[in-house]
This record gives sequence, structure tokens and C-alpha cells, in this order.
Amino acid sequence: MPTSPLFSPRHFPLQNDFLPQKGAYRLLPFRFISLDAQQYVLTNFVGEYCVVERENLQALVAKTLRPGSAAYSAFKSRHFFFEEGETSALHLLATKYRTKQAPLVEFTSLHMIVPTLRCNTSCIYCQASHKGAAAASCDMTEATADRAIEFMFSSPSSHLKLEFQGGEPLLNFDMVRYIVEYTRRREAELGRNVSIVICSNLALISEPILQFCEKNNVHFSTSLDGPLDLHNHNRPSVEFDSYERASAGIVRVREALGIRAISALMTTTQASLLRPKEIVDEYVGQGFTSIFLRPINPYGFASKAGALTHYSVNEWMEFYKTALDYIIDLNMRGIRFREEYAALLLRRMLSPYGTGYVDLQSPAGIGISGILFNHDGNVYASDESRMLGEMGDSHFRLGNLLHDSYEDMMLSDVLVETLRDTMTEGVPGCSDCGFQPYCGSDPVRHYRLQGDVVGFKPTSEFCQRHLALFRHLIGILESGSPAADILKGWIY
Amino acid sequence: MAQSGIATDDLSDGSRVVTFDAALYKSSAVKKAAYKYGGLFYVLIAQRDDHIEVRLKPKEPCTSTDALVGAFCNEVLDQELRETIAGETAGIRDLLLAQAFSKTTLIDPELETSEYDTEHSADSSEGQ
Repeated sequence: MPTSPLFSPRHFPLQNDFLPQKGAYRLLPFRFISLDAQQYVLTNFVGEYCVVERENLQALVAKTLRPGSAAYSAFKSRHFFFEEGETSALHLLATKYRTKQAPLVEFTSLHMIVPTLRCNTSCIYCQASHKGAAAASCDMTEATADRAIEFMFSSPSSHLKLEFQGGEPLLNFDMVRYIVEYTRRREAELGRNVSIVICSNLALISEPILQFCEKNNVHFSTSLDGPLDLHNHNRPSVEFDSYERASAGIVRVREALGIRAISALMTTTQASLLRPKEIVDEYVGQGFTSIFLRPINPYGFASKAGALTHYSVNEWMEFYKTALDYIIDLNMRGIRFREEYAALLLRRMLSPYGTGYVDLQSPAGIGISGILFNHDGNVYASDESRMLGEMGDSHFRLGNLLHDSYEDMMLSDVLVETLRDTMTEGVPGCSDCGFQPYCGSDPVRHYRLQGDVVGFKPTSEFCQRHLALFRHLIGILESGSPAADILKGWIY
Repeated sequence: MAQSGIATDDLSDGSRVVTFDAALYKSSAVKKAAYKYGGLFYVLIAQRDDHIEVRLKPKEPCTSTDALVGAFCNEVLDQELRETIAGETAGIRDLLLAQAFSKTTLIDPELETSEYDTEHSADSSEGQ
């Protein structure tokens, strides 16, 4: 639908804006990156941005912008420079920067626990390298669980989150029950606040389980990869129809615990790439109000499945753009629906607040945003670290609950050195990047794919994907179309 | 092919040699651009008397080498601009970080101007 061009306060034309000599202002720290062949994105110290042509960028640095011009006003209001004698810009920037970094003070919020590695599906991308349902040696013991819970309560976070991962947690529901009851008891004793989520394929959901979850305020997260044939292709089981169990489970959880008690995640495989609209339709049809379009992780069975799961950044971006356009179109037709990946990036780009999303933190989120307790007591810096561990590479194993203290593990060389070495503020390719305020460090992914926790950014798929995402979202925001307003409405 | 301060030369093995006038370009800016293009080229940088010589050998057979070499030269310009910004704002960046992570007010209204000017002057001279 054609729209009349709207004035964008972040995008202004050249209009006799330049002085013949230097003006009297001082630059504030900022970064820039090309948006396309003509334009640059400039981000200030806290990530507020302007889109300009190179002439304006050069004039800004050369201090030849004419006071009162549109460019001068835009750069000044967004703190790209300050005038002599002005101090409010410095105070404002410092306050905004502190707000952005506030999640760091919280320290570890997300604590993932693996009550069993057993599973009853054989997902083609399984990140946990699952074991058969009868492999009882893959179950967590009570002694290990006790240590895991006490470890969690050692974190100063005011919003602790305990997430059961697998394997399939419901295959060892006795241990889930034990951990939940222990956690709720300690939560009351310590005056803490813990939200609890079970990540499950829902195949074994039952009335007693739902009653227990209602009593203990336990929510669910499940996997939904798309329509029946796609879901079952990605997540097959020899015991049951995976799609049918997930769909029925979603309904049962909602009926028992409420509409908000269940969320769903999808993983993009090669088979998903040609079906973006059908995947979105599946989520809308099942009553969800959002979808997180996730690329596949290169761990576990996903790394062995080859062509079944692998695709290029460009292929995924085409899939993503098609799905995003479709979601925007749904919104224009009155269906309120959000894409979560875009929503969290937009929150980082347009709001003064940081996000707790583990994969986009600097310092990296491993250990200090999320941490994982495996069934055998091994503590990993992230779920992806555990997946590497299951593949035989324990590089990011911080220790074992039965042998090592909280302090030993949180101050372990591998964690501290990795966090120190991978901060985007100081690593090649990131420190000068215009999108640095929005992006983050994923040392585990870079270690896995490039053999180095910092990574080589020019060939990093993580870097390529996020550059493409930021550019695409800014392109929409700057288009002046109704789509920009829809994206802004997703920020929460 | 020559641009202001830049000269390029083609070699038989497909490499291109780009020469930057050392009076106009910082070697650090050239290195940062070389890093960014390290996925496309094998890069060798040499400092000659009054110029910086960059040899770019495509990692894969390429039909758009000229365009890529041109983009590399523009990237050096961008890196020069980034160095100018970083040099001029280093003191303010440190001040902002100190203020952000301190519960006390480091920006003292009475001392702010003189302290800042001293620091800023030092940074400016180092950055040139």
C-alpha cells in the first residue's frame, strides 16, 4: 500500500547545513556503520541513533554544522555533541548508560536444571544430544538437586528463574516435583522470588502433573516448529505423534493453568525455510500472540545432521524477512501478533532499558545471566556450553555441584577470562561497530564455529546475522510506513 | 587507477596493491580496515618511507575485485574518521563511564570545566 512520505526525525536532508569554519561544540562518543550505499547509522554512547548521508557525518566531525539546522538540532538532541558550558548532556548520558547496564547488577537470574537427559523424541537438531528413555543413569540425584538449588539462591538476583531443561523433564517428574517443592520451601524461608518453568514437549502431561503445577505456580514452555508435517519432521518420535501431543498439551495447560501459563519456541531447520507464513499461521491458529523465529544452534545433533538443518545466514534472513513482513501484514489487518526476536532487538535499539537476553550481552551472558546444572552435577556457563560438553568438549564446564563451591565456579578462570576477553566494547570488529550498543557477545558460539571465544567477525555468522537484522529493522523504522509504528508497538 | 592519496596496482597472481600516503592515512586505520576485509582477502601491510602499502589477495576467485578494493579504500576513510572521533572523545568517554558506575557525582559543577579542559587538551594532542 503506497503511503505518503512521513518526516522522520532521525533522517534529515542536506539543507545549507554547513558552516565554512569550525563551530563551537565538542563531540561526544559515538560510533557509525553503513546502512546502505548512501547512508550511515550513527549511534551515540547509549545507542540512540541517527541515519545520515556521509556529508552530514563528516560535517559533524569537522564541526561545520550550522547551528539551528535540522542536522545540528538532531545531533544535539541525541547527544552526539554538546555545546560549551553545557553539562546536562553528560549527566543524561551517564544516567542512561547506567540504566542500560542495570541488568549486570542483578547477576545470574536464569538457572537451568536438567533433571534427566532421557528423552522420548528424536529431534533432528537436538541440542542436548538426548539419550533413550530408559537410560536411568542420566537422571539427577537428590543430593545433586539440593546443591543446585542452594547454588541458585546464592545469586543476588531479585528475580530468580528456574527452568527445567532436558532431555524431557517429565520423564523424571519425581525429580521435578522434588526440586520444585524444595525450591518453594527455601524461597519462603529466604524471602526470595522464583519463577519456575518446565520446558517440555508435553507428551506426558497429565492431570496430576497439572494439579501440581497449579499448586506450585509452575509454567510451561514447549516447542512448536510449525504445521503437523513440519513439526513431526523436525521432532519425530517412535512412540507418539509429536505434533498431536504438543497441540493437545498446549490446550490442556491453558485450561488448567491459564492462557499465559504456556509459551512456545520454534527452531528453523532447512525444511522450515520455505514455509515462513505457514509457521506463523500455526502460531496464530494455536492462539499464541507472538513467535520467536530462532535460527538453529550449531550444537548437539544439529551439528551432525548436516543438510537436514544447515543453511546460510542469507537463507535464514530471507526466511525471516518474509515471516516478518507477513506478521506486519497481519497486524495491519487487525491481528495483534509480535515477533519476539525483533521485539528484543528493538527494545535494545529504542528503549533506555537493557534486556536480559543471554545471547546479546556485553559482557557475555554466560554464567552471569544464565547458568546450567546438568543431571550429573556438572555446571556449565550456558545451555550451549552443556551441549558442547555432551559432545565431549568441556571447555565451558565451570565445575561440579558436588565438589566445587559457588565462589570457585563463578570466579573460575574460564568464566572470568572469557567474559573479560569478549566484551564487545574492546574486541576487534565490535568496538567501532555502529551497532555495538545493540549487540552482544556469544563466546560459546564463536568457540564452537571458529575455535576462538572472541571469533573472527568478518566471517562470523553471528555477526553477519545481527548486522543484517539491525539494518533491516532500521530500514523499516526509517521507511515512514505504518510498519514502523507496528514495530515500535512491540517494545515492552 | 589513482585517487587522492591512494594508488593501486594489479599483480599477476590476482593480488592488488593499494598504496596510501602516510601523511594522510594512519597505519592503525589501515590495519582496522584490513581486519574488516580479512574475510575476503589475505592482507599484507608494509610501511615504506612515506607510504603504507597494502597487498590484497582474494581468498576466492572473484569477479568484483575492483569494487571490493574500492570499498576497502572507503573503509580506510571510515576508520580514519573513527580514530578522529575516538581521539577527541576519549576523555569524555572515561568521564561518562566513571559517572555512570559511581553513586557519587564526579561531575563537580565548580571543578568540572577546569578538570575537563585539562583532560580534553591532553587527549586532543595525543589524538593528532
